[in-house]
Amino acid sequence: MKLRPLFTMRRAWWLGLLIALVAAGLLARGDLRAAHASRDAEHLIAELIATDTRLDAAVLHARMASYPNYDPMNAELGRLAALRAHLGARSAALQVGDEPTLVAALAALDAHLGTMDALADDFRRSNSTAKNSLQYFPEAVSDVLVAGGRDAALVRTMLPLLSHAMLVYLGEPSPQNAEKITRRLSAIESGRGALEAATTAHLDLALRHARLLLDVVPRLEAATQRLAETGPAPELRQLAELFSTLHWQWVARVYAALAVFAIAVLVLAGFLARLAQAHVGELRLASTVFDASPAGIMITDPQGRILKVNPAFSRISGFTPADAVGNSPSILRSDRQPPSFYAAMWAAIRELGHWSGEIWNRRKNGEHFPEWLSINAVRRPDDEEITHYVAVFIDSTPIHDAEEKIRYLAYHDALTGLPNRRVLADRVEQALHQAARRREIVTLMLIDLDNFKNINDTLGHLTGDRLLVQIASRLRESFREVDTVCRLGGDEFVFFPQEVRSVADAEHIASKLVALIAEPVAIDGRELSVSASIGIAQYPTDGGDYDTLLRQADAAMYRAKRRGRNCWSFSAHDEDAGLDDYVVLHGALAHAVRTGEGLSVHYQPKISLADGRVVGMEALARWTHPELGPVGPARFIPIAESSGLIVPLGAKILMTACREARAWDALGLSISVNTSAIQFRRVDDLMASVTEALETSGLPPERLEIELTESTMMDNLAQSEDALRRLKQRGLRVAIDDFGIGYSSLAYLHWLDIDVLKIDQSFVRDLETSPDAAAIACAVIQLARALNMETVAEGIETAGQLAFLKTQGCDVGQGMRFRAPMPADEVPRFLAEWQRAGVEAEGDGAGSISRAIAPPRATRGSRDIEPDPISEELRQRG
Amino acid sequence: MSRAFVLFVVVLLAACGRDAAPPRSAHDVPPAPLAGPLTALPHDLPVDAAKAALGGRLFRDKRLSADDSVACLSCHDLEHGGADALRTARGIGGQAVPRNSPTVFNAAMNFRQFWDGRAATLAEQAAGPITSPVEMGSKWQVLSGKLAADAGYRRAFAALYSDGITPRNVTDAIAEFERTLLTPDSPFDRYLRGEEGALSADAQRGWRLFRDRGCAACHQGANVGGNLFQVFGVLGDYFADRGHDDPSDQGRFNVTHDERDRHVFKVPALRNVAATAPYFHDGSAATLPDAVRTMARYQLGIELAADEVDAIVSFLGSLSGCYQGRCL
Repeated sequence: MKLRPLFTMRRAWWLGLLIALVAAGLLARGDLRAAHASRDAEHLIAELIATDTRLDAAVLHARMASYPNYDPMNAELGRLAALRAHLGARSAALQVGDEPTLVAALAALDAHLGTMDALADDFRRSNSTAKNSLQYFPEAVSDVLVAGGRDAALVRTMLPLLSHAMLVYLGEPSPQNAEKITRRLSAIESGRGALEAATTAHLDLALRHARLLLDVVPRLEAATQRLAETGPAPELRQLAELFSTLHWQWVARVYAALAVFAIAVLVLAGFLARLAQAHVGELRLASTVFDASPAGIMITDPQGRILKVNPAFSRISGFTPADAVGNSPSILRSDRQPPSFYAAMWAAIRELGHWSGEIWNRRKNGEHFPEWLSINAVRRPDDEEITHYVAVFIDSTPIHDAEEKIRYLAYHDALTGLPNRRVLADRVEQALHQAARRREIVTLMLIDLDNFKNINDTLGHLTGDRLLVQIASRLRESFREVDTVCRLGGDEFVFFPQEVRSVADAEHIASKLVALIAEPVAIDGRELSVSASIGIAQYPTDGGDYDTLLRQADAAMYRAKRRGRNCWSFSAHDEDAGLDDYVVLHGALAHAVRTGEGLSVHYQPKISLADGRVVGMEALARWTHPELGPVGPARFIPIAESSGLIVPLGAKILMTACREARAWDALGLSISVNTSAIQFRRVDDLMASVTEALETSGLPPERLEIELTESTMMDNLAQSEDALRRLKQRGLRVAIDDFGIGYSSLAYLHWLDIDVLKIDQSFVRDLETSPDAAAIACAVIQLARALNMETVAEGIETAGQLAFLKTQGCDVGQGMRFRAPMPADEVPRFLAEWQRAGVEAEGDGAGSISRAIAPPRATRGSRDIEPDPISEELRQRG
Repeated sequence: MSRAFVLFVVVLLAACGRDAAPPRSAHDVPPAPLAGPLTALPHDLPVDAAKAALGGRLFRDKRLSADDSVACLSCHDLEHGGADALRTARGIGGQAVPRNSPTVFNAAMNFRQFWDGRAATLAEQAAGPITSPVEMGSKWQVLSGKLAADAGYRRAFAALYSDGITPRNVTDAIAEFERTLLTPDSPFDRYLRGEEGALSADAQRGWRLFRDRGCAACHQGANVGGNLFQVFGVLGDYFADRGHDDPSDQGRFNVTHDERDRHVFKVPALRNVAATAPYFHDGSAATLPDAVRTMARYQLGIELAADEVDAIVSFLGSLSGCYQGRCL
């Protein structure tokens, strides 16, 4: 009878407890699932990024292939959509479908995918149409010409012009080029009536194809670029980082739910402790709980001596029952809490019979750990005398770890683990504050990897990411703890060194950074190397706050990039201090261009390989700095180009060369002058200086040859076309320099009416060692011959190179084998010696070519040392 | 207590045990990235065989239409190239459907469904004719009731889907069945796989013409089309020449209302094309030579010589494959 009410109460407790447990379990279950789902989602996103990259390749292939196949790109698009759907399902599993950041990120992704679909549609349609029209347009044009259209003046003149304009347009579908086509189209249409009916049909078809191309090509270009070059959609990266953060938040929640469970256990344990004294029969139950509980339980007597501990106690603390029983709980005590903390705790236990909270204890191995602890005083029912203390605790280390991770993510870059922008700003501001008081320097270095985008684009973003991680860890390991290395995002890092006391210190660090990054990185068994450009800004010279310093460092970094990358540059004060090469040289160069001081033109002879005659000279700019001495063109030409000085400098060289070339009238030598892309872009200025030079010097235009590089010509075809036409109209010859390294189309060379191709030095240099170089040189010579152009080989140094070029039929040679560039006043002596040597050679019976084989001086003294293959051959023939 | 603890642990473990099905689409096996313009049809796609069997039954079941007179099979006859022989299809009560029935064979290889691409998936497509008033005219509520009255369907759906007979599950099963309707091993596929003799000299010449005259600029991929949209009348106004321009001629415009999509259609796949006359969305070309000539004229701006047409038709004939061992 006595048991019954107690039994009912017990059942109520049991029920309550069960509900608490199940609730905690469900809570933990949801969060655990969420944690898994977010990890899953991260993998999905990685797959999305990989698919995105494969899509780029598939699109480019469909674009480049002679016969497109859209299945591969459609497959990748289908995969993107499927992955997106799964990501949605994962987000639903996370039960955070409505988390605003996530909603926004997913919406951004949807918009991105929608755009990709629309672009893909545009791409497929215009790609197919363009491929067909590109085939049929020229066919239709020639059909018109064959069908008797040759008689109509309109057709004869306008159709080739239309075709030409179309080719230019295909290279660069700009509105101006489109406009040109439209004009020619309407001109042709206006005269269409004069044609026979049969011809009109062909003409109409040609015009229809032209119009189609006009419409389709820019769409195709735009779609290709946006599909294939969007790279890793920022939308995807943002999602990846978001999910990574969410993941750890959910891990923390799982532990929070576990904590709820633990509290339920604590309550239960307290209840059982009370029950234990009320009813002997419950002791069995209590002991089961005691042993099975995941929480550590320790029972002491009123004096605080340990009477009993459970297995979880031993597992968590490392103390076995034998270690613990009989001892005081102070064996667990860490010195993390002050004595006053324990006094307050005991006061609460004595007065309220209960204390709970988080406390740091010590394991047997000495390690400190946080635990959630609940202590209950057990009193005898009759006299309220304390008989025992029951301490129940759980290890809260995992919760701390999760919190730690979340804090870490808030202050670190997810990819590299380096501190992020936020940390950097904080540390710099602190340092600035301190520096102001102590009158110190603060240095900030912005590091940007050169051409990192290329690595991403060619090897994929996963490789790019791995490279970033490796560079990051190399930076971190190479400097002291106090120096901050942080990643701003993308391929931008900031290095914030401490205790930099001078500009020289900073220079030292910067050069170390440049060298450190330039070391190759091994990724998947492949060696990659990147270089970096570094911009340095210092307090107080460049600014007094973090934002300004960073901006200055950024500007300085761009300066470093402009200087040719793989180097560092200071911010503005660098120029003031006169440390900058650029500034020093620029000032002096500007002066030289204005006054002509220190500027001169040297000449390198061009020799006809067929008969050994000197046929012309190439004019080469030389500059001597008043203090630094001779400065190489490789150094001052870029400065002239970036400052615009190239235009007056070019005009000056042109004028000098034309004037000095008059001295060689008797031999009728031509003079070649190099022009830069910038001069070509300012056609009117170029033409004005050409006219002036010719008129002032009286040099016949056909003896002036303008050289431009292949890349200059290809960079802006429409402009090049215009400039070249005007030069040709003026009666000049045009040569393409460094030919073979660019990617000219044969058709352009023909159209643009080029006179000379100069084989790039690099091929000549490698002629004897690289079959490829030899093959390219041959191809250029054949090509030039087929198009009725002259070939010039530059940089001939050895007899072998000369022999090869000669046999292949190269027209003209130039290089140290004949003569290094010389000042104008040495030219007459050279010409005289050369001619004399030729006469001597002829007297020898070796034929005039032997003059070409060795410089005149050598010819005189040492001909018999080792006969050159060609002179041998000629000797035999002669 | 220990029971509660065990329960808790079980619940926790259950939370860890769920598994993600990998994403799956018709393009599970992407073709090699450097494939030529045309590639061989795969022999099969990954399918859930049980669902496909259920879908096959639904596909043939006339109860899917309002008056129990029309099944999917009625217009997509597997004995007749997966389509019907009519110029434009007939729905319940003999109603005229304004478009030609496209073949159901290899539809799983298409990037979108319908002439205007309005359905992104096979399942989405299957829902269209079932509820279209002029085609099968069903209401989902009624249809679900009719299917639920059949104990066989009840059992099958209950076994395969957690939520039984729903519109989604009906179309899902049909779609799964349609993924099995491939016609591999056509003479051309055998030729692509290296069997030189599989293609007659005439067909080989036709294949080269097909490729070099520009047909293959659009009709490419494993399905010889079906993977992009294109304007009907790139180089000529087909609709003006035909004499009328109906709503069903507007194509993709009807879906997007974008002027650039007027007269734009999904490029039809040419697999089994010899068995699916008549041709085009309006069924206006009665024979394959007609269709080839019209395409050359309006899409490429060329007139093919008679022998060229014959060669191309001969090539197109080599695109007919086999379904369940029977060649079309």
